[in-house]
Amino acid sequence: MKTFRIAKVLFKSMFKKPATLMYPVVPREWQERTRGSIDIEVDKCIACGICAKRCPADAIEVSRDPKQWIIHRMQCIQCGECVQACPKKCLAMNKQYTEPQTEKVVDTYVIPEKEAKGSAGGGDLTCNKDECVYCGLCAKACPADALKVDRKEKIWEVDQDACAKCGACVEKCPKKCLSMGDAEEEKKAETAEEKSDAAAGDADSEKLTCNKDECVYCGLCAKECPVDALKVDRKEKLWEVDEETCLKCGACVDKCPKKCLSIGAAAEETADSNDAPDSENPGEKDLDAE
Amino acid sequence: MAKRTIIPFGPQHPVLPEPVHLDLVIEDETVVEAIPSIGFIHRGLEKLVEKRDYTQMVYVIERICGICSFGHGWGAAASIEGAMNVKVPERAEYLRTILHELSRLHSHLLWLGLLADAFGFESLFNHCWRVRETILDILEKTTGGRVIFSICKVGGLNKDIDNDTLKEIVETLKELKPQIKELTDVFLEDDSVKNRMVGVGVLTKADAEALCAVGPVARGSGVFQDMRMTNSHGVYDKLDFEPVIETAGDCYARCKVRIGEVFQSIELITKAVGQIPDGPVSVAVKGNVEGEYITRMEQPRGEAFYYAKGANSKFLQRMRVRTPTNMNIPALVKTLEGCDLADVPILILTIDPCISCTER
Amino acid sequence: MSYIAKSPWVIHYDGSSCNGCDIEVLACLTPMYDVERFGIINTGNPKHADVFLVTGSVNEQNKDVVKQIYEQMPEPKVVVAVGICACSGGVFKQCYNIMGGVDTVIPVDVYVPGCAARPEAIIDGVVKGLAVLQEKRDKMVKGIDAPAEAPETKAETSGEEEKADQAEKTEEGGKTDE
Repeated sequence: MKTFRIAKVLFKSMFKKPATLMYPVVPREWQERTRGSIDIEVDKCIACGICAKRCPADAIEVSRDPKQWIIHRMQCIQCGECVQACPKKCLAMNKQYTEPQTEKVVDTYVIPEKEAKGSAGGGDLTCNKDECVYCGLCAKACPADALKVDRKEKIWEVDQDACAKCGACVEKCPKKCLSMGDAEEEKKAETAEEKSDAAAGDADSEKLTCNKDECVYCGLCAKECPVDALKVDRKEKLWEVDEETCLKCGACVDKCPKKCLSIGAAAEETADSNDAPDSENPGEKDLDAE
Repeated sequence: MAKRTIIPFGPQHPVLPEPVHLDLVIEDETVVEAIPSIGFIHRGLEKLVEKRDYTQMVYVIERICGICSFGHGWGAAASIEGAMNVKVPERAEYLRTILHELSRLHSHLLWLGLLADAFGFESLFNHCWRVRETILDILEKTTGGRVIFSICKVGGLNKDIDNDTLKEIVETLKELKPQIKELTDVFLEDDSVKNRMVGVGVLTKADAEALCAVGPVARGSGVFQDMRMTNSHGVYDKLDFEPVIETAGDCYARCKVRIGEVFQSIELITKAVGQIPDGPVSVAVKGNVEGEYITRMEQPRGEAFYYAKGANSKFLQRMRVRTPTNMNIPALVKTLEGCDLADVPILILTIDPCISCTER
Repeated sequence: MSYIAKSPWVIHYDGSSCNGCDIEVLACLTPMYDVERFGIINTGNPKHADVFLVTGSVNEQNKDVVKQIYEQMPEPKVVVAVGICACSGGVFKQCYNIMGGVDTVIPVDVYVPGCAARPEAIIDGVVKGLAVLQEKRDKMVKGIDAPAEAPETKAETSGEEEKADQAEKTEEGGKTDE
């Protein structure tokens, strides 16, 4: 006859500290990845509307006129899809949940007007076909899948309805041949300068070289290459480029953390124009570096 | 002939966590027949494929049920990946298996607590759920949510779990094992609990096969069936998996099967963490879905199918989920015939009903 | 604070939800969060309950059940909608069978967001609900006294008027008689 088997458990629990968290009196410490609610840095927002399209619960509304970002707190399922989809990375997952209220909460954030940044005001996306090497990096960067690039057929197409005018492709293009309508002349001037620098480099000799003293054989250039022209082996300390496949697009040059790659002989010039693209994706770099 | 009365049971009842309605035809405290009527949780979410594209659909399917939610997310993602011919990296498969086993642990501990509550044994209910909170802390640490995880996506996982965290998980489970053993000893050896479970609600092996029962309900009656033995999902073929089978077919046998699965899950997690390779956890997926694919998965409650069909568009044409409790309800109705009125809550709980899964 | 706000009894019903919020409601009763230290008991009988915790976006078959439970509860009562499915329909808002949140069927006092709503959020929501419950009870108490006063004053005034009328009538009657 085995009765009252729970006696052992009950006896132990009489002498142990109670498991209760005493919640309202003792505030709760959140774990690192807890999904509570969505925060936005309105200054970075460009009102592209990609977050609103990706949201499975239709909790986000983005209006362009007036420029506002609206979230219905009582409809958000905290899945994090908008955080991943935002091209400007201005959304973040906050650990604190939205407080219960007696009426449905709608938070409206007014997006401040920006000067001369112009990815989301202007006209349609266009590509300068003379410079374009059809590497396809813009299509990979597009969060709305609006670009179609084919290297063999030399096709570059954009679906203007799907295009959210976020400008992610404009920043990603290594040849800087994309632009958003009649955007700002300052930006054009900037890109023209960079192009002339790169062109100066290109004009000398059309060859990708690696400074083997600086190179750590991390392999990031090989991962970035859209045509798989690079071969890097860390153990064997091997770095090779297939000259025929290489498009001279310059994506690897931008990606290299040691700045030891260059197209042509001009290593110093390319170092200056490489700052902007690197700061665009700090998150990706960290993951890849691991 | 004795007088027959009809007692309506549910949809709102203290012992039921979910609304289900049973009309019990009783003759002097013995149930002669049970007529179920379901439909209180039907939301019709399979029709949302017309409005949500395939990446958003994973979040919708995940919310079919809050208890088996990881399995639903994995199944939906796996069927779409199969239709698009996407190969998920090895590390992602291992992590999905580990998270699925953690989900099974929390589901079985939840069930044990509810079963104790059905007898009236509230202190055991509280202890089971206290132990379960440690597992929910682990799940929150890795995925961000206690109940709904939102970590599976088409192409792998949203976030990686590093190896140090995995080792901490194994340590925590090792410390938890003796506490779980103390509680399960009460279920299996205490006389007052055994009185309520042994010989109650017997489902013979022939009945279980004829009525297509799945999961622990079938394994408790001696049917040798577990989807983890097929190589349809996860890395179970590398972990030396053997299902837990009992032959008696009563409530006690089903309870023993689930308790056996709890300890088996802890071992599977330990083995998987020992073997997990390094690498990426997702692949980028772009494009349209074309073709059809079916995934079979072993949820904590039994076998589930996930069927995805695409027609060259971002929107799937059909997403069909067949859940385990759907198959176990006929077995429930069969076991209810001839039982006492006081045993009805226990029999309903012993098939581990997840009515929200049944009705989607 | 009266006893009602110190020890409210709770009834919980799942109105077409996925069970995530229901498990978190039950988790509030278990040792980690333990709302029973505040005197809250999960009762199964609507006639004994003060606070109605509803989860789930309500579907066609369930709306009558939710209404019936609400109507069986005695006044004063508070409805707390737990989870975003109960607040507004959540991800399922566009499904054909869904009414779209509990407030399409019964009046809601507190909305608790979250998918699934955390036990901490549910406790916060119930505490806010208790403040609303206390207000309702105060109004009810005043309401019981006030109509009793008004008819009395009216009765007094009308009694006086009647007396005055009767006096006039008797006078008149007297006059006529005489």
